[in-house]
Amino acid sequence: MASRYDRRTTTFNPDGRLLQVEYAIEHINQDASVIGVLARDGVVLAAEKKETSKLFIPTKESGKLYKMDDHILVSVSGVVADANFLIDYGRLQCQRHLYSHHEPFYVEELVKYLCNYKHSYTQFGSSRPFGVSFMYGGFDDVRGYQLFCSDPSGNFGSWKAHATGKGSVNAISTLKTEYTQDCSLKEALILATKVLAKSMDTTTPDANKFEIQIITKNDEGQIIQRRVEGEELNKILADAKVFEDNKK
Amino acid sequence: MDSIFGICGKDWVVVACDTAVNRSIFTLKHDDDKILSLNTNKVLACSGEQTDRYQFSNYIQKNLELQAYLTGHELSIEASAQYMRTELAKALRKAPYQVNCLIGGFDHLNGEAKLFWMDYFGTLQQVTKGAHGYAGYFVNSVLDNNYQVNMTLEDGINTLKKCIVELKTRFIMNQPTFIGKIVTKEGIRVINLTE
Repeated sequence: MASRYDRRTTTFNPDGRLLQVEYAIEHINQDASVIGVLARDGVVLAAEKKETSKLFIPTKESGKLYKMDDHILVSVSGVVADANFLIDYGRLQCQRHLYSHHEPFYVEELVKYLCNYKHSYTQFGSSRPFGVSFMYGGFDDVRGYQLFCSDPSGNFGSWKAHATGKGSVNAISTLKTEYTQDCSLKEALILATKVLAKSMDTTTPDANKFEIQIITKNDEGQIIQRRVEGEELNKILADAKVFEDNKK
Repeated sequence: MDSIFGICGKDWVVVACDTAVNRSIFTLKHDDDKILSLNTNKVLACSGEQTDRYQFSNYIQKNLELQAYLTGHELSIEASAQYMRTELAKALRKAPYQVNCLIGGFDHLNGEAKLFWMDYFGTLQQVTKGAHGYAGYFVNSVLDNNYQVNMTLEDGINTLKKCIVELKTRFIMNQPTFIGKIVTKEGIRVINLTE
């Protein structure tokens, strides 16, 4: 499989492809799934929790979902070490913007900023591209709730619903048929968990396999992001008929 | 020696300035516009050293335009004012600009007009009315006496005209002409305040 053209990140092969970048994307396609769904009153990011040992103690940030800023939530697919670096890089820029403008960074600007950096690794040799695909859920005053996805080449897109990772091909086709325009956050949560459950490799998904966060407004109109867990998660899983579907 | 002052209502803001450029004992110009338009919804009035005024206001204007071009939308009034403050404060410890500013504008997102007062140290304050320089000694009282919470644009312009009468009567400087810039939902409009 290896050829002369995949030694460098910057050399096109005779078919016009950048192999190293494609390998990085392939790496992401083998990672656990992440589903993002945009609703009229929030954004949902749902990830499949990683298989961990009984002896493992979770650290402060050991999941798939990270807080970029108060108004931006990201999910990680791919090399977590690469992601950690990029997340720090993005967080710094968010704070820089807040410092100079006293206003939160626009979501698309952050995506563009990180993608510019990712892209530079497809231009300069001797180092590999970031093997990370992010899904960004965010809110800003100008464009409201937004969902973005970026890949190692530095490409990004804005989506109403999207999936990355192992089961992403099936997940995207399910999202395409089942997504309703302007759905509520609750509907989005149900859809996301349903699609995620289907793309999991176990036939008996339980609540511990779901890592779900939402970004929405609280009663005072402030943007918040929080984990969906415990009783609330169980209720959503029941509504999504996650357990019944898989028994059949 | 420049006179700049402004007043802000619910959905309008007017900023006025004299148009004289003085150096030493000479008047070099009678028609200098000291209020720069930024994007489509903001104005920046500067007083102070000629070169600094020119340098700073153009630097800000171009950068705000670049940001609007990159992001696809213009910054809010507050974000623009904070950005100017950051730039001024950054320069303060290196090569300070000696400019005092009034920043006025209309926010399309919430339909509000805002006015900010900033001095060359980078003190930024949102105000409903404000003035800089010697003019402040004359017009602040007039602005105070005439300002009302829900006043109309008409009343605002009349108040500024009263300020100019005060300056012409009491101020030693010769400032024959004043212009004003009005920012509303419709955009920026220039008016001559001295008939």
